[in-house]
Amino acid sequence: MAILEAKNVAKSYGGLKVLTDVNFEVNEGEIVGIIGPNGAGKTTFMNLISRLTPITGGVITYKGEIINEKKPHEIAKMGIARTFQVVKPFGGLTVLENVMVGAFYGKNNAKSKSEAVTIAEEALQIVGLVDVKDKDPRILPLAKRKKLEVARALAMGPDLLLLDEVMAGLSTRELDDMMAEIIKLKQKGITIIAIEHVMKAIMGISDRIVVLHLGKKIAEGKPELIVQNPDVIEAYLGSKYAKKE
Amino acid sequence: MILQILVNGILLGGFYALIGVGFSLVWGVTNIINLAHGAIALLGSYITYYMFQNLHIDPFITLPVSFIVLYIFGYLVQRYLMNMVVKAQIFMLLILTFGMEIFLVNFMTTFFSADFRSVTPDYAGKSIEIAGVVVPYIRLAVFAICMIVTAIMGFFLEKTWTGKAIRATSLDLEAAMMTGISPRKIYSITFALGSALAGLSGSLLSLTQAFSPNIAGGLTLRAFIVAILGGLGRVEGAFLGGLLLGVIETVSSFYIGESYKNAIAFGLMVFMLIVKPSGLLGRKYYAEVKH
Amino acid sequence: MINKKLILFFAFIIILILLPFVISGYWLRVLTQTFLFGAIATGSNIIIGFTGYPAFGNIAFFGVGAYVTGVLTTKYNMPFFATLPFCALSGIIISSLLGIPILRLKGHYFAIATVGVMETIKELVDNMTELTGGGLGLTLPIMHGEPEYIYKFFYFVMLGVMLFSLLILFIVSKIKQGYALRAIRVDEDAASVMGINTPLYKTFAWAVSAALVGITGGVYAYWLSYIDPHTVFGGTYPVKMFAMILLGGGTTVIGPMLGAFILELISEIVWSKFIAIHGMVLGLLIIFIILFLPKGIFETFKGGFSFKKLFSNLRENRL
Repeated sequence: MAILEAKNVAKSYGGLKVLTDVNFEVNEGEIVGIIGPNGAGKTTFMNLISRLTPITGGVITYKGEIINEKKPHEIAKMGIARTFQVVKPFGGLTVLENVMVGAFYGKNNAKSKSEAVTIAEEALQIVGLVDVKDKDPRILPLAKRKKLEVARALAMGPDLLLLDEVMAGLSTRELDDMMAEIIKLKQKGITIIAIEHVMKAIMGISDRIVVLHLGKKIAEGKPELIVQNPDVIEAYLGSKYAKKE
Repeated sequence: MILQILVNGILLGGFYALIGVGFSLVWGVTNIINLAHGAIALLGSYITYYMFQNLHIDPFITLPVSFIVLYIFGYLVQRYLMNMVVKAQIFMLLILTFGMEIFLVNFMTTFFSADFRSVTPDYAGKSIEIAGVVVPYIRLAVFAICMIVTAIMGFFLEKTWTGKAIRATSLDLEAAMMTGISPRKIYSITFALGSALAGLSGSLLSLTQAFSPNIAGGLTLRAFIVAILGGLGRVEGAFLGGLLLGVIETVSSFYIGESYKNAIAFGLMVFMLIVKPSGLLGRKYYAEVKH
Repeated sequence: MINKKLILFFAFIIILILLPFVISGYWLRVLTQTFLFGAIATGSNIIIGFTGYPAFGNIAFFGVGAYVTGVLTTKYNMPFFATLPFCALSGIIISSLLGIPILRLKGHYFAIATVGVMETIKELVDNMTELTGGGLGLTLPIMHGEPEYIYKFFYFVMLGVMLFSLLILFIVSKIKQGYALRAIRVDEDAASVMGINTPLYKTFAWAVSAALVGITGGVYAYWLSYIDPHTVFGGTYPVKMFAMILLGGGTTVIGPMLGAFILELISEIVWSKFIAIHGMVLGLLIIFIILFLPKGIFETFKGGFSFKKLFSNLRENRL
């Protein structure tokens, strides 16, 4: 059953079209990867789902309800959580307190402090940050701050988790670690949409891949088929790797 | 009658454009809201006043002096004070310039006294009448100078290398640095220009109205409104914003009452901030980009 | 560690309570003034320090509170204490109505908009001559009693207002909503996708600040028994308030109050001897704070004083 549906979704700033007619579904319990070269509209798409920017065309449905006009905090209460590409922990709060914010205000909506602490500690347990829970998050290394982002989202008790480049900038070992983490979340029944630049990582964990290029969906399918799709190679690998040389 | 009011508004608006353009430039390029702008303008007023009073120099001849002195002043302030903390949170800089404002206003009060002063050469009060509209020569001259200087400013930013470097810096600091522009220098030049233009407008102000250190805040406010109306860092925006503010202020003073002048100006500003913070002509809204 | 701080704090409060029995006249007034600033800085810190919205013009509510007490005591013969809830209420109403449009602005746009609000209210009060006396000001009924008694009365009332503000700030820092405010301060988008209704919480924070500052204004009006628009709206109040919050540290509960003590007492001890250049020194002091102590005196010198730490801000933020 589809938990999230995007129909003809479009986004433009003035005359600039960032996304045009994007259609796809995400089924419950799935991990869907969204890939695409820079400027493909991946993060914009994520901002549309989490309602940080207005949708200019089409319809997004979550659990059968149209969410076009919802506010970000309402979306959160409905069970959608997300992380950000640029990791910005709430400074002045400890790691645990950061995660508690998620427990207080997400779908979990913890009523008391002790309840929030319990939820937060559980989330930290899952991502393996319990040992630094009383630290100031600003001093953590990048990999751990990314995990903190995930923990914060987890503490909200989400049904759908949007991960915005959580694997970018990680070392190979950290990457394997994070991939294992994400698989674990899937086993807990959380549906995941992951935007990623790191091809290897996303291919390894996704059930399905959606490829965006210049604001359009150009391909969709199983990871092993996507890598052979000529359009994808042309658009994604071609342009990206050509530039680097 | 309405024609006379409109003409008065436009003449006043020319002055507002000039005081606004420097403020807007500094804000647009360095992202500093210079709350001391009005106080710096008053330094220019006092330069003109003392040169006229003590040395009997024609006030219009003091304009370049005012410009140069305050250019140097602005350069030093930016180079050795503001640049030191320019990467701090934005409102830290706001408080810093407020501190400067308090210092300058009290400095002027202490050394120049809080009395109202004005500069009145013999040709003050002479005027020309066209179709029943009275236009004092001085105001006309002030208006003309304001327009010319604003236009030169626009030309400078468009055509000269320094101007282009300033605009590049305002668009993207990091990209500008990569092309070899020294932001330290550009910031200093920008602030120096802003101060110099403020000083110039202060000198002109002394010819058209009485001034004292206490009006500094009101001047800054008007510069602020002009920048908000026109959009940051845009010369043509300041031009438009200045005229608009001048006319709105004059017309509303006449119909609603002089005592509500500030309330109307502030109301206009708050309204504009809420409705279109990027200004009438539109421009990148800084608070979204860096905060 | 926490307990040691707590003991120090209560010792401090007890000293303040006992002090009026050993000092008199001048020093009572100076301390009352200090409490006044302590209350303003502490109350404003909920929106400024905790939520990260530089409400520069928060003094507007101080002025509104002063005029609410002024008008209610003179025109409606209301007893002084009965007016204070109305001071709070007026702050809450105005900030809630304005909060929805204005709190959408960020950074210095917000700061300046609040100044705009302050100046607009000032002009309105200035022009509502029949009710407020306009520019001539408003004379409140003078309290009856011995001068010494009156001094002590206001000393304790102002101390009470400051401690009340402090208590509210402390409570906000502990409850669920306090976490939301601090999340908003760091990253509003992140806060909103975590389920925090950011417009609501920002308005809440501003309303609480407005109410506390409003009450302080009410006490001020009765204390001075004369108010006019130019003294209660603006002047050097906003920047002094801000300097105090910065000096003490805006992210802490007790910082703004300590900042107020430091700045007000320095002001009184040192500057009263140099009245002429008083304003210039204030300006320089503010510049000094921004240059060297923007994180607050306690945060900067955590673990001991050194000159090197004084320059750490310049190293971090210079171009």
